[in-house]
Amino acid sequence: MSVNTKMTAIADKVRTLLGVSGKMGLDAMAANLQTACTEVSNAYTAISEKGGTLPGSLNIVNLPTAIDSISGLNFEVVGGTSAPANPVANTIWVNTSTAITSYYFSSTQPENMANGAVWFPTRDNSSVAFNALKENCIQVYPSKATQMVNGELVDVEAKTYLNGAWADWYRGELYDNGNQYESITGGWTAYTQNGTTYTLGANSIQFSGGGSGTIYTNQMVDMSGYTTLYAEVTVTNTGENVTLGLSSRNNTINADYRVVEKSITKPSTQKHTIAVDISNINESHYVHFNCWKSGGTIHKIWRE
Amino acid sequence: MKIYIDIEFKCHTTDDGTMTAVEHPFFDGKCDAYVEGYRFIPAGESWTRSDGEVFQGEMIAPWKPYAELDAAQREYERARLADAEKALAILLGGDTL
Repeated sequence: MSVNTKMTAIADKVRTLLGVSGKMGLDAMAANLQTACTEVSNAYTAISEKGGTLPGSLNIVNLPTAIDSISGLNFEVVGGTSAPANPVANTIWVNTSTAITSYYFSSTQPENMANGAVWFPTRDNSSVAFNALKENCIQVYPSKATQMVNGELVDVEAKTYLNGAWADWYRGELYDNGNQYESITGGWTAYTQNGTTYTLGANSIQFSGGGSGTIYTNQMVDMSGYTTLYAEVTVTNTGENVTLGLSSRNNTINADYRVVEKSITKPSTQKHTIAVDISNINESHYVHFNCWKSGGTIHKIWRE
Repeated sequence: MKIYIDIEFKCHTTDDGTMTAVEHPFFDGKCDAYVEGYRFIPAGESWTRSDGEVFQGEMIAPWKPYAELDAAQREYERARLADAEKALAILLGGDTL
């Protein structure tokens, strides 16, 4: 086949691909090709603006897949006892051995949850907030993960894949193993009398002495959506009492400002989990832990 | 302040003859509406919430929305302050009640 014949055959194929009828000059075909390339590029720009996923090669072959990626959710919920491989941003991994049959994001518990259903209680802030939609915005603020297992709603661990790593979900902690959760509590500060001391150690808060004192959050903490305030405390000196509660003021041991409290008088020398009902408190208050002629260690303070 | 608790550990300011008297500083200076929105579980007793969570005494927590109780207490304190100011005005200015 001569070169001319080959060129003619190629030109015919190009015309067929471009849908060009008749004999079009190479300049005109080049212009058509340029237009086609511009349109493909514009299509990928639109896909990106609408939250679609762009492929490695922005060619016409990959365009249908990219278009398919536009619609739908901007997150995925995956269950299992090990983290899913190759996660994408906003993949929510629920660490569970019970198959997830459905899931809910809501501020109140859904009715008639089936076995395996996962409920993510939502609040007005979250360490793992995300936009649920690729197009437009529905911002979701999950607080924790719970799952219906054999008729009981149980807490389960959840992590979200963010910025290339698995992020733990914040679960209501106010102090835990040295972490003061300052963005929520403003840190913890002590007010003491007559020799009582509080020491903020690397892994716990130590309290001791023969007087009285309180350690409290520097900021008011939102209690809405939570039902119980807890503290895990090991008492080493039984003394008089220890108290966990909420106050409307943060720098006083004055009972006038207490909103709720749970006291243990002459507690035994062991690890205690102190629980206070806060189900009817939907505002922000200071959290306090008081001791009177007692000594011991605060390991953790949290809300559920 | 002396209060009275019923069989559900709800607080009252008067005894209907079936209640248990409790003396506790938590309620000092609080109005009746505030006191009666609280639950007091004495030491050695326990209370089970509707979701099954068990709370050991001694615990003091509202069974009515706290915002409602706080509003009642603030109104009570405003009224007491107004009475005090009026009494002071009488003492200083000779006004009569």
